[in-house]
Amino acid sequence: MSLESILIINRSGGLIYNKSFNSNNDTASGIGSNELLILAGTLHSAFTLTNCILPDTLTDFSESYNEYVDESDIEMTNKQNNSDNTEIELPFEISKDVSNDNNNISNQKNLLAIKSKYYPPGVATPNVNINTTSEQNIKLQSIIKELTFKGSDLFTTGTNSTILNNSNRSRIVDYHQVSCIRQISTEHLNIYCHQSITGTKFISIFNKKNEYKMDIDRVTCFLMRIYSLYSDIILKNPFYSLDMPIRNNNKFDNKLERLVTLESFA
Amino acid sequence: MNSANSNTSIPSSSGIDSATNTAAIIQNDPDYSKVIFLKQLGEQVFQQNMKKINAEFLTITYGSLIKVLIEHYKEDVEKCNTKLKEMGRNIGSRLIDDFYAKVTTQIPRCSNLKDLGNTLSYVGFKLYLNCVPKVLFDENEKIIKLRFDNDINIFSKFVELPDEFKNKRLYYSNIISGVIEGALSGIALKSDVKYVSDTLLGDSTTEIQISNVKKIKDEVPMGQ
Repeated sequence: MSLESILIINRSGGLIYNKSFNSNNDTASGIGSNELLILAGTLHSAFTLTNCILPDTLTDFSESYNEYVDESDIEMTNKQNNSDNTEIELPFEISKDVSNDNNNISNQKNLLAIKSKYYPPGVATPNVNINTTSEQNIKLQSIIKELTFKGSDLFTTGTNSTILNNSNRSRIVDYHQVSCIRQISTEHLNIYCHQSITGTKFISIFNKKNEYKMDIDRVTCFLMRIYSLYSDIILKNPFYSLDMPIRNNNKFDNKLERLVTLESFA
Repeated sequence: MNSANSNTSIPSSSGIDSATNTAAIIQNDPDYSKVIFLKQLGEQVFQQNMKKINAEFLTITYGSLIKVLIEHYKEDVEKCNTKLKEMGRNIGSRLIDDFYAKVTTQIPRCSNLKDLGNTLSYVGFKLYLNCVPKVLFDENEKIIKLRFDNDINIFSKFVELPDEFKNKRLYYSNIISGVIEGALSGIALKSDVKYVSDTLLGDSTTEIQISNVKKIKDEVPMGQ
């Protein structure tokens, strides 16, 4: 599987950034900018719709925004009883006395929780042992050098095994709280999505040339790295206005290319 | 620890003898463990993910900015306050993405006002200003107040306002209220944020008040 292109879609469904890799490939060159815009709009509406068709069992446990609860209602229920709406599952174990009902629900919650694993950058396949060379470290340093990120969280290499064993690092996104499309699989393509809380969607399109199937969590980590690049390089540029297309940002292009080569996707 | 205790008002503990059972209640109180979690999260992300700059440089830069603003508006303090807030709003709407990108561990979704206040204070302010304002929560009127003690607001560290601005009530760090408002609007929450008092103006405390928090229904990002 290799990376075809990366799209960034803003909160209102407009395509603000697209970059295609493997430009000599037929599938990539066949897509014009108009089609990309349509694709972005379609994906955006698909995201919106999936939230509406979420099964009832899931909506009971997910704190998704689509069930509109007035702030006052929350306060009311909060006063009346410690209702399930206000219960937030924390990533670590807490000893708290809960009634039987609550206990049941929290059990079910645990069943439904989908959490994605953390993958360090530059790991080609999950089966291969993590051997981060100094070369990879240099590449990583070159990516995070000019960022405001210190990088010890999201951009950790696999050399430091203690970081991986750390409970905080093992899980990165808790999809228990999220309801959205994560992956679309077609005959020729695999599409992976990550949506940030502000509604910006990061979409990467992979072709299915090689038989090897990419782990979804790994791509999610990759997309989160793009998100951090975006929030750093694009949004902190004072001359960029929000929700507008990103044009001629060499810095972002370079960093993105480096990230892709580091992850050896392309 | 002390501040956390006073912040978490325990809703259902009225009937229980507080003197003996306080420790047990606090341990079992989900609100309290949430606060502890947010504190740890803020500390961890601050240590691991944030690059730091010199605080004095920021303070002086901000001071010169205020000076230029006042000159530009010919000492019209009202205009300065609104302009500062507008600038803050622009910053906030960009910063919210940065915030969520840096707090890579999933942050629990705020389901009520108290959560919102605690998250703002223990994570937001910790990350960007390295100060943790006290959260005062008014359940009846649905108001969060953030109180800055002593010198923890770095913007007003070396500042002594002249009397003419004191009388006209120039809120020196009004940019913070704008940032909060902009950041909340980024996650589809409408709110009114304003300064209610400032020690620079001779008040006894510095307080920012967040009120009228409403979800914007039409324009909801359905992300995490």
